[in-house]
This record gives sequence, structure tokens and C-alpha cells, in this order.
Amino acid sequence: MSDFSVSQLWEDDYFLHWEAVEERYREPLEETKSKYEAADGINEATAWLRDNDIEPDALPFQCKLVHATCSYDYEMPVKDPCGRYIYTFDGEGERDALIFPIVDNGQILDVGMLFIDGLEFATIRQKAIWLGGDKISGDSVRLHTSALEWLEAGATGCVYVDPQRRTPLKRLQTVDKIHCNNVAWALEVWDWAFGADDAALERFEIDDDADNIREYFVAQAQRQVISQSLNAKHPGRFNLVMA
Amino acid sequence: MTSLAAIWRDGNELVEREAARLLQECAAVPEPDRPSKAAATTPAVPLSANDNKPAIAEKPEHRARLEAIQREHGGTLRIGATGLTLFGATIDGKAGQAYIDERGACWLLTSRGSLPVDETPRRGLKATPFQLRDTSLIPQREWLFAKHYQRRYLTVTVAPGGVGKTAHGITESLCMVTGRPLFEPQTGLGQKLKVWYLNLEDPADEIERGFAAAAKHFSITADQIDDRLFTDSGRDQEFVIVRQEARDFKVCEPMIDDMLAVIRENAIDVVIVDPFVSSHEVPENDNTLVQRVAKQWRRIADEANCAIELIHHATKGNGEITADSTRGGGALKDAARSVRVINAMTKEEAEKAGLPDERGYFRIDFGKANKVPKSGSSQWRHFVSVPLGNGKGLMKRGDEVGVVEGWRWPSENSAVADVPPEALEAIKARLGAGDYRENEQSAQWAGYRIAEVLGMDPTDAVEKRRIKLMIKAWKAEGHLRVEMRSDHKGTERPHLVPGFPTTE
Repeated sequence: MSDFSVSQLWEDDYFLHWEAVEERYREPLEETKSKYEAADGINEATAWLRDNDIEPDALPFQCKLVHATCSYDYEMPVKDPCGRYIYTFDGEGERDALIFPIVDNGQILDVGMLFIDGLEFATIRQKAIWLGGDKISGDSVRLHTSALEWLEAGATGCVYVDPQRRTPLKRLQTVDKIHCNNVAWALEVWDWAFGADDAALERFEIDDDADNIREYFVAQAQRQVISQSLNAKHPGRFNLVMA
Repeated sequence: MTSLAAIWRDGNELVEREAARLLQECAAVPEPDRPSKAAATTPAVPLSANDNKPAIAEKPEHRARLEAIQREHGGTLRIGATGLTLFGATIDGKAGQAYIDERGACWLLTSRGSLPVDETPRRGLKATPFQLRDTSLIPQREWLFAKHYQRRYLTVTVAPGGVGKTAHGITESLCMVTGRPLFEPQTGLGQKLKVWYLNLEDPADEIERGFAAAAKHFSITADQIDDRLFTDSGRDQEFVIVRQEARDFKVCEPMIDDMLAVIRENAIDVVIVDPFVSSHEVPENDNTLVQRVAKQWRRIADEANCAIELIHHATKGNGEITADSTRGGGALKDAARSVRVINAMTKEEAEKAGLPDERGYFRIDFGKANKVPKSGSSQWRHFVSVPLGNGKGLMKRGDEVGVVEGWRWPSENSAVADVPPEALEAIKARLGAGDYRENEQSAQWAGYRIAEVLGMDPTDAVEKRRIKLMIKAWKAEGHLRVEMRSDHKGTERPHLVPGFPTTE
């Protein structure tokens, strides 16, 4: 079980059980690794990184720029016919995805894809929860808001990449100081990782722009007023959560 | 670098200030002028075509009333010449426009003029679900007398003229009042009842004669009657329940109310109306109207919790009277719970019964008895003449009034009931001493010997018939039996010989 877990400390039995279930439907790790290794596009990746002010040599992994296509495997020989996405990498089409291995607990467990067109991020196996998960320990960690930002920072710090779950954010409880440059994301993490505990606010250090911070709270005030007004006018009609 | 705690604290203060400011701003902005809901649903008052006339205003209270009529009778609501009007309403089959005038009265304007509109809402029908209960929980039928009179029901007795239905009614009244079984086979007489006897034809003194004669015949005293009998004549008071007014027939509600009050006040159990024809003014052959009359009598029975007995004439004719022989429409018979018919005795029946004369005898049958098992035999009645002894002076005998008493059809056993055992033994000895034929045609008929012993006249048809009944009864009892013996010619013929019945 520990092979599949990236944050066993913070994930309960329920989480681990479903991780094990989902593992059966993921692309086998060896396949993913060999696909990554078979792909070319190192030079293209280096060029693109340099164009975006990222030093490729500073990154602890090799990036490759490939043409990624996605298909759906309907004939997957598993017990339950659920199918899965199959990514293939080649250099035939326009190279649009920057791929790199994701390491956690010192092991490669997935391959990340940053689509350079819209800077969307995805993983091949939908296994990775964090980028730079190994950095979540010790005195402090930098919590980035996007994969590009994380690459720009030379893959220091961490970024949360799971699109569905929030519970694994609790892994941040192991560090004393969390640095973040986005107050909205910091507050959301505070809510999920620390249960909105006031004492935990001290763990966050924010280096966000003052205007951004003000803008965030003004937006909250506006939302609150809109909710109040709507509830006053149409009592019980809208299930609005007060901001 | 700023601590998130500080940001959060400052941010919350900022949110509070900002929210308060925004709320103030919202309060300061006036509501945009939108049409209200009420105004949106109410149709705008149309502008008058002629500027000199003011636009017709609609009264909201009129709208509610007219909408109620619209739900019942259809139509469309529009502003008409006099205000809000319900066009195309059909009330009681008459189409027109319903409107409400200045005084608040609602009218239906039809091609024949304006009619007042009854605005009471119609009461809807409902179907009551039947629940099967334990039979012990079902209340028993309240039979009052003779398995005919039943509380809260209408009953009818049909009789041809001159048979004795009035006298029968009188005796029945006395039965119920005194609680005595004046007609022998009566059953179900558990209590003394209060009876109101209404004779709508005879004067009061004739009614008194009838009751006095019956009381005299049955030895009924005033104490036995007590205060339970009420008699009234249609000549003194009017008991017309449905009256003709011009071309219409109206139910006399005041009379019904009075009657209900009297019945309730005196706790009367049975009302006998004699005859039915005098209690209304409708044509007898009109079933619908007769049904209306019957319905009113039934209503009295129901509301006053009493039994109503209507004595009705039968059609003319010599045939057997049945429930279908009621004069006029059959609706009365159909409305009644129990119908009895009175038939006079026929000549043949009198002969069979061994009576010298059929006059004065009649029988009562249930012509239509809902929910009563059919009784095999009829109830027979006999008319007897009772002198009242009210004559003044030596030569005046006074009145003789017919009284009806019970009479039993003579059975075979009753033919020999009054023959003493010694006489029977004498007859048996006489018949055993010789050869006496069973055949009545024979000169050696055993009946002649019986007549000798009993001192009867075998030449009289009635007496002869009685002797035949006796022989039949004794044969059945085993006192006589048939034996084949040779006559003087040597032919085997049935002869009557004495028998000795055993108790086995």
C-alpha cells in the first residue's frame, strides 16, 4: 500500500482503499515510464523553457516537449469495463506538451503534462497529488498556485495538482511555515488543511500584492451583500451561503 | 511578507465596512417602478370610446361574486355596459349575462328579461364507501305492527271500495293503541303505540261511531286506550300535502311543518291516512306528481320518526287485487316500503271454507313486501255488525256499525275440532257395524251415517262439505281407513271402516 501512497500520514483508510481501487485502472507505471523515456523533444523543451525564463538545468528532472494525443481505451482487459485515457507522445504533430516525471517519496509515480498553449496541467496516470511533494517537510515550504509558477521557481516548493480532492492538503500540517503569494489560495488551504483554525493562520506567510488582497476582501463583501439582499427579497428562495 | 493572521483580521474588518457601505448604497437607490402583481393580473379598464362618458370602474367585490358564479355556470368576465359582467353564463338552462346592480342584487339578463340569480354554491355529490360491519352492530328494523308498519317508512294498503278498509284501519288502530292482539295471528305487537287516525272523507261523528263499535265489540275500555289515540276528520281540518295552484303544483310546507310539530309534540308513532287520494290535489295518473306527494309523506315519516300508512283505492274490476292494482300511477306503490292488498272473499272460496255466504269476509296479502319473507297463507278478516245501542225510544234500535275481526280459514282439523270423542266413538261403532262406501255418490255413503250421529243435514251443501272435511281429517288421523270390500254385486269397492290410531 505504501507504494501507492504519497502522503500516508494524512490520508485515512478510506482514502487509501480507493487509491488501491483506482490503481487497478491506471496505466501501469512501467508503461508510463517507458513512454516518457521513448519520447524525444529534449531540445525543444529546453528552448521553450528558456523562452519562458526557466532555467532547464536547474530543474531536477528532464523535460521533453512532445506532441500529445489522447484516446480512450474501450477494450481495456479489466473486470469492470470502465476504460481509461491513453496518451501517446510523438514528434509528428506540433509539439504542445511539456512532459516531466513527477517524483514523490523519492519515486517516480506519474508523468506530468503542461500544455503550453493554455498552460493547463494534467498527469498521465491521475495519480500525482502534489508536484514537489517531497518538499513538504521541515520548517517551511513555498506553496505555489500553478505548475508553471512552480517550474519558474526551479521546482522548489510544492503545488497542489489534484483537480478533485482537497483532503490531501492536510499534508501541509507537517511544515511550520507556508509561504504563498496568493491570499485567496492561502485562505482556502487554511480552511481545508487546518480546518480554519485561527491558530493555524500564523503558519502562513503571504507575499501577495496589497491591491490583490484588498480586491479579494472587497469581493467577499460584495458577495455577502448580494446574498443578504437576495435573501431579504426572496426569503428561502436561494440557498445562498453567506460569505 | 505578511502573516495571514494579520491579513485575515484586517480583511474581515474591511469586509464589514465594505458590506455596511454597500448596504447603505443599496438602501439609497430607489426601487425601479415596476407594475405590481395585482395590477398585472387585473385587466386595465378600457378607455371609453366617447370622451364625454367616464370609464366604467370595476368593483372588486362584484368580481369575487361573479367569479363564483362563473365557476358554477361558465361564461367569460368582461366590462360590460353596466360594469363587470359575466357573459355567456347558463343558469338553470337559461343563457344570458350575469351582472350585479347598484343595490348589490345579482341578475341574469336573458332574452326574456332579467331573472334573479341564486348565488348559493352547489353542494357536490359524494360517494360513501361501504364498510362491512359485524351484523350485531347493525340496528334492527323498527317494525311497529303486523310486519307492515315500520318506523320512518311509508306503507300502503290497497283495497277496493266497500270491502271494509276503513273498519279494518280502525281495528288495527285499536290493536296498536291497546296493545291487545285483536286479530289473532298478529305478531310483533310488543308495545302500545300512539296512533293518529286521519279519515279525510268521513265526518268526526262517523269516525267516533267506528271506534266506539270496535271498542264495544272487543270490550275495550277508555282506560285501555288512555291518551294514545288521536282521530281527526278531513272535513274539519285540511290535510292536503300537495296543492294545485293555477298550473303549478305546490308542496304545502306550512301544513307539513304543522303536521311534523303535532307528531313530535304528541310523540305519535303511527299516522294512518284514509284515503290517500284526499291528501293531495294532483292528478292520480301522473306518476311524477304522485311520486312528489309520496316523497312528502315519506319525508314526514322520516323527519317525525313515525310510520305513515296510506290507505288507497284499487282500480275497478273483478280480478284479484295486487300491488299493481293501485288506482292511478304506480309511483305510490314504488315509494312504499310495504304494500298490503285487501281482497274480498269469492264465492268459490266461501264454498271451500264451508261458509254459507262470502259477504263480510276478506283477506289481506302482502302485495309488495320488501325484505319480509313471503307468508304462505293470507290473513283473513271478518266483518261483523255491531249495534251501538244508541237508539232513543223503544222503537228505535240505534246504529249498527261494521267492525272487522280476525277470522281463520277452517282447516281440516278445525272441522273435527268440536266433535266430542264420544260422538267419534259412536261414528266408528256405526261404521264398523256395516259396509259403508267411501264414495259420496253412493247411497251407502258413510257420510250419511256420520250426519245421523251428529244430527247434521247432508242435503245442505255446506253441511255436506263439512262432513267431507271431517272424513278427510279422520282419515288423516287414522280414525277411519279405506278397505276394499265386495258389494252386493261382488265388485270390489272402497269402503270406510273404523281405524285405531296408535301414537307411534
